[in-house]
Amino acid sequence: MVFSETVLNHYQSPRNMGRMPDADAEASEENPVCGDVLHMWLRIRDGVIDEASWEARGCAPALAAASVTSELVRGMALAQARVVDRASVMEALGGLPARKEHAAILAATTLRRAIESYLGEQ
Amino acid sequence: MPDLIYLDHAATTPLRAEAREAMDPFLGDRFGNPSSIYRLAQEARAALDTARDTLAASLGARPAEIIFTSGGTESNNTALKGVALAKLREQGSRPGHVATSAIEHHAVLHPVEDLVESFGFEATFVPVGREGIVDPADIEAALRPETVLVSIMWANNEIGTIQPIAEIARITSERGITFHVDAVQAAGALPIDLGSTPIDLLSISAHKFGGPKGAGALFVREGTPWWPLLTGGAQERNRRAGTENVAAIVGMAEALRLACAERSKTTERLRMLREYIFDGIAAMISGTVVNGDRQRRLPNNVNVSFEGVHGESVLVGLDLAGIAASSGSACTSGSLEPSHVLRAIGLPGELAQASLRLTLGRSSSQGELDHVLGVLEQLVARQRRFVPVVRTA
Repeated sequence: MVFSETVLNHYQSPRNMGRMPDADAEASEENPVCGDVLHMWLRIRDGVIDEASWEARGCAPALAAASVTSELVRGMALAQARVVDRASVMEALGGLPARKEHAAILAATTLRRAIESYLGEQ
Repeated sequence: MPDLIYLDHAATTPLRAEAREAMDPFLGDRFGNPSSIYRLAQEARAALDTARDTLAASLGARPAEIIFTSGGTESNNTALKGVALAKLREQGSRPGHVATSAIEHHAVLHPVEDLVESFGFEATFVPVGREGIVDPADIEAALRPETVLVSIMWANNEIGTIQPIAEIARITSERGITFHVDAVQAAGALPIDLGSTPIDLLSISAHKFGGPKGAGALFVREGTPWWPLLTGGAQERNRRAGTENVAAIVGMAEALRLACAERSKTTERLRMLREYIFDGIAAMISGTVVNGDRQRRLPNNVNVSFEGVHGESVLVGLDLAGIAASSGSACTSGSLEPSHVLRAIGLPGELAQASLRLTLGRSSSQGELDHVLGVLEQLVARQRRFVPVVRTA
């Protein structure tokens, strides 16, 4: 198998999957080339991400990246969560093959968009 | 259930025990170079000759028309570049035109693109419809006075569709145009008789029919224009330089002989299993599309798309359950674009990403397929739960 244990673990037992009806922020991103779609929801309390959830259609690493990101940002201050990028997601996943980096990019971008939309609204 | 359920026989097949046994002496004591003169070497030469006879008999060809290569990719490259460049030499500096189809393997499409980009040839990539079968009338319409070569696959590697090779051969032979057939997926699985079908070149690859990797062959009808891709030795009657891979060639001949001898029985059995899994998928999983004509396809090929599911995710789930399969989704090929074959049959990008190919083989059984159907049903249902309702902001 070409994927790390962490990728397979999140793929098999995804964390925080599902819609969040009373979310404070959300964003949807699509990779127009490969067609992966990710929607992410955030609950924010006093400038800290209390909870994150997601739904996605994509390859196994795309689902795992969404799942791991939702865990990674829980309890993070918005300023800190804002700088979560491809490298942070890849690290949390225990690495990804080069051709799969787009999965980490999609998760990081969707998260940033959700935070930006929240800050824009305030 | 066995540790591994292998359903990717279009990618490669396990080496047959009989082929391995035939190869064994040439990996050991009988290591001679067939081009040398002493007895040890002549044993290897004799084995090579016998393999050539066997291969020719299996294809309805003459032994002198068989060139051994390293596999399907080399056979295709040699055929396309060999004929086109020989014609270029005949015609002075005027490059001609090549016609092929949009669903060929990259080992045909890329050499054709090389001829266009590096040598100034023109090329037509004849489209196909939803059923994934080339219409001979479209080939006829694509021909020009300067067409030097037509190349069409006998059976498609992704969706298994069988092309009307005899009809196309009739059209090209009437016009005196050289016709190459990529029979990598067809050899051993479909009857091939080069004695009665006017094909000029035909590529095969040993590891697709129970032979070893690293061996293939190219049939070249006598009188076909020829320009050797590999030079630097007189092997294969000056048509392909390089010391022959004797053991692998011996294994290839034995594997093809067996595949042809068993073909009618194997075909019946695989076709029944194929229909069993098509029916099972249709009954158990909603939102399924069959890719390519369901009947006019290789007896071992199942290719379907599941709406709202990512093909590669399904592959990972299958692998974790001990099942090896394949997908036309972009991720599996290492590119971002999904399969050119699935796009050519008009499948929208999302469904092309959602495809699954199961290719059956000698080891496949109904019991295995029952297990696979159960796993698939669960995996697809699980994948569909992930799918977001994409909202517009």
